[in-house]
Amino acid sequence: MAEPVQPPMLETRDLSRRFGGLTAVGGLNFEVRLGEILSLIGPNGAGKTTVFNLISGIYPPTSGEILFQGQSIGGLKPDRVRRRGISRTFQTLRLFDNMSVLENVLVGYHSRLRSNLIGDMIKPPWVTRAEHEAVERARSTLEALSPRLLSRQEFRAGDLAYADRRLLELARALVSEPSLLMLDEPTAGMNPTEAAEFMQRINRIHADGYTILLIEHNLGVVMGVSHRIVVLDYGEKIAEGTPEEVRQDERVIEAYLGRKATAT
Amino acid sequence: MDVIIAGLVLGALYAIVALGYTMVYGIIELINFAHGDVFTFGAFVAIPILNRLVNQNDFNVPVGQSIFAVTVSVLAAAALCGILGVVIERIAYRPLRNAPRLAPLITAIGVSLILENALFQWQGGLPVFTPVAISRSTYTILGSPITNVQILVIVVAILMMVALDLFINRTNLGKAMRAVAQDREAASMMGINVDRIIAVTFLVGSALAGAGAVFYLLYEGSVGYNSGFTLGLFAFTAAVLGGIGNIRGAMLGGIVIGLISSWIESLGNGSGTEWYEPVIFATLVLILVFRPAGLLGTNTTEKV
Repeated sequence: MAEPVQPPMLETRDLSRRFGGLTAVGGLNFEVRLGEILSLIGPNGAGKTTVFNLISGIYPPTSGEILFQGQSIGGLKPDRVRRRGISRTFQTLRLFDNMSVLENVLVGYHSRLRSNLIGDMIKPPWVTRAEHEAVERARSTLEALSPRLLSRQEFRAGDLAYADRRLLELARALVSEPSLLMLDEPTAGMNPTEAAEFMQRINRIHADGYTILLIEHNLGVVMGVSHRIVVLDYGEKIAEGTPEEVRQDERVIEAYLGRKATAT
Repeated sequence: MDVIIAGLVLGALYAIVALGYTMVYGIIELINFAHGDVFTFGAFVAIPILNRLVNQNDFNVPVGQSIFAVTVSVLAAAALCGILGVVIERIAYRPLRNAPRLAPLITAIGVSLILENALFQWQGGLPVFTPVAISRSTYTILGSPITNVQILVIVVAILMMVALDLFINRTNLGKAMRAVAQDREAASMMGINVDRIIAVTFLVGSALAGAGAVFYLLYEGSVGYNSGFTLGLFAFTAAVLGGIGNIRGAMLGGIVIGLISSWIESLGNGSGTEWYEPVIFATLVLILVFRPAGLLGTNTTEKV
């Protein structure tokens, strides 16, 4: 792991989001460095997914700033954020179930294509060429991730098995070669074997040069893949550091692990 | 056979208008009641153009002149209706995008009333007649007469539907439209500009209505300020029959409604003409009660 000499890929400054009287995220400062895998963990309701939604533009911050590659992206619409180079997956799968596997990945490539009504209707050679390139990219992304998915490219996405749907969502996020990949609980609903496989896959994606921001409940996965961890509780950062440091942090044990231990 | 031919022509027109309802519903779950009035607007745009381009007293219009006049008026009506559709969406529906669903629905009725009254002010309350833009000639199919205009309407409608189907299933924008229809938020996170895709949907749907209006005019010979509204209700019934939000369903529904209405009209030595409206709207009620998803509505989430 390279030392963090470069400016951060993503940085939040006093990022807050309130829903009515509830502060989902309050004064959050953290950064994702180029080339690292950073995990965001915390008990249920700690505000992890809210942070993802703020970064990806689903709703604007109440206050504070989000800087991506040094530029403010707070309050930008999701499609602008994606075009800047941030992709994400969802905690609950949100595939386009009625489209084919290949089409789902192609939609993920949309941010890299420029299309307009006239070009799409007349289909001049450059549009056709761009479309062929998109299909090639989509197929190679699927193949790199799972040859099995490629062989099922004409299947309806809704008909795939659960683990394949997870992979497809990942392919859809990766196809546009984002600078920052955000994964929201990618192993949710997987059995331990599948989760371990997924962990290897995350490592492989990281080896390809991706910077990854991960939300994960499975602490085995978190401790296994993360370079650094940020721990949230009630929308605030209570700890930050390497897996080793976080594991030994008393506030973390109390807020997260302790509570979890008593719950089980 | 006569009944079937008349039904197919009528059905083709209903289908084209139904497409506009179903596309808009598919993408923003709104019944765009103003759609029928956009159709009338298209017809009103075409009338002065046809008047200018063909000799009103001449019943033998040269073929070249017919083609030119019809092409120009179709392009003009489609373009202006497309723009009108986009403007309506921008002004009346977009600000209410996140409001409860009843709000845009009532707004749509309001827009419809505004348009209808504007059209009334523009052309008055009487039907406006068009010159004969295409000289009639009659052919025989299976012993029944069919005019060249009837053939034209059916052929053009099929071409428009095939083109739309290809557009939605084969192009990048069509793919984006289907994505927005299924999950707007996820689509926008794929880099799709949702506002733009919704505008394109209104543009395409309204342009189809505009083009369809010209062919309606050629077939019927006249149009009144509220013709589109009535036709719009039939087309809406067709869209619901096919499964609202389902493109191919709208095409099928249009044809079925066309056939039903021409069949009812043919009953009882012509007294059936008084009955086709109640029958069609009764059909609407029956579909809504017994099969709300429509004929092709088994995959209820396939929206555009």
